[in-house]
Amino acid sequence: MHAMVPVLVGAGVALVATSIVIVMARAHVARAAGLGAALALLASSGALAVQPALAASPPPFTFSRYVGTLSMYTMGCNQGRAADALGQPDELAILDFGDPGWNSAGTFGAWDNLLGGFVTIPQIETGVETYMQGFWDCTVPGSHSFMNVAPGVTNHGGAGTAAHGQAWAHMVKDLNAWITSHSFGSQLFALGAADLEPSWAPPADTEAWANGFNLVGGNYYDFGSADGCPPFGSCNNGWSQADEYAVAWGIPAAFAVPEIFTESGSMATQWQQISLWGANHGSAGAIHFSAAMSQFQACADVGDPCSGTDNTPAQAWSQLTSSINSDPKTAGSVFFSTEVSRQTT
Amino acid sequence: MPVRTPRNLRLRWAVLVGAAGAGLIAITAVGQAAAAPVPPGLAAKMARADQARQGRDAAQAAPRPAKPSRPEPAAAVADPAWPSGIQEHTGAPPLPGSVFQSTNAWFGLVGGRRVIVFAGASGSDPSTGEVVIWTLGATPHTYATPVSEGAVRVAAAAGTRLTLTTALGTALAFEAASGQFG
Repeated sequence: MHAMVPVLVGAGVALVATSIVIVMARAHVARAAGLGAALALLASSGALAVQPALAASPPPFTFSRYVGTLSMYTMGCNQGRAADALGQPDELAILDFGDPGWNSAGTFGAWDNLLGGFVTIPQIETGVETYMQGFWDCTVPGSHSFMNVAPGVTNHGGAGTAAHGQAWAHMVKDLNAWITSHSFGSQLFALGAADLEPSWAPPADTEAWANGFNLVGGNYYDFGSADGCPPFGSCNNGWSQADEYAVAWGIPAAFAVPEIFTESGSMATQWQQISLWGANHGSAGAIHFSAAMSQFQACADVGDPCSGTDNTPAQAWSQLTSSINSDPKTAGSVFFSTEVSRQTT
Repeated sequence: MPVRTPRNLRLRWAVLVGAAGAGLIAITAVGQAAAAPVPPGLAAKMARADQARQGRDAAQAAPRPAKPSRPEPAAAVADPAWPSGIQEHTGAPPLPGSVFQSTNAWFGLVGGRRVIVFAGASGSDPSTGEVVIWTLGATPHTYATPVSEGAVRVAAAAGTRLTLTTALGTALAFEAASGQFG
């Protein structure tokens, strides 16, 4: 038995070396295959190289918004100044305009209760442009700050149709055309966003919206939840992990910014399990999470303790990072951290 | 100077055998990883992302417009008018769908403040009718209906006094200012 010790040591060396080599090989193959390019949409050009493979500390967070005004210049300005001060070469801000809908004239838009009612897509577009103008104006000349601006809707209310998804994607195209026409492309890029939650609509309706968006082109962030999903039971409202995966990553336009609100870590676990489903069965493999979203500020804004769902940005990011790295099949980095707020400046 | 005994020679051989094993396994692992194809769905995402990145790269290389020395907005953008009365296609209260599902809502002013009363049902128990009063900027308050007849909706309003109807047709009076039934 004593003579076996050196052999066991050798075997241990073999195991460790193999693990290291496998990790290196995975990273090498991923880069070689252009995964860095895929993720560059969410990070600065060629930035996979500057993103740590397994970052140990949370990145500086941005404020996303439940939008309460269309005069968003100051909001964008303040975010721009913060980005320069914090040294955020790449970041995202989701601007949530509420539930999808259309008015009596048949114009698509969103029901935004913080704004006080229905806002049309042209109105939303104008508001987002003020945000982007503010961001541009208030970053310093030569700034390296880059903002992915993502106006979003939910899948609540039954109006999340394929046609609405297409209209939203056309709005994103218009916003990018506005960026180009103002020569702001060195610091700004527009995507869509969607708070897709199982409890709010059947999966078929939600996938219709997502596929409608995808058909037009562009990309969107899914900043939704996975209510009820494994390992805590079955996803609510007839959804499956496959449905969650489809709208958060499987559809080419989709990138994932999941809500990681629960202090217990349950939401992070649910998303890791969805990613694992994707690694085993999905058309696009495991999910590469763009960001984790927290709601600490949104709760504080209305004096709500949000008991049990009050993660800070750092907690949300750390939970998701830790959870996905609990399994080699889902291991990776979470690029950004964003905190939703109800503030209007 | 260390003495080479048969025992530490055996030790060296054992470690060498282990290291050789590591090398073999590692070479196999690299081969497998290198052979792993990119999932087709990921390739589609990469193509889109590449397109976006090219646009960004081009913008980085282009001259940048000047920035204002004193940033200020060109003009305020008008927010939509605050609606009033019963609205059928409204947004949701700031509650997760697993907690509350709304059917319709009443918009009004209570004590000079914007208030929305959402009618609907519990997200976890659809048989329990619920009403959510949300004064903008404050925490929403939820009230269960006195009868369990499914989701309720706002059918009529007179000032801040609302008439709700259940799925079974029962009419319930509700005071938006106090959150009281009856």
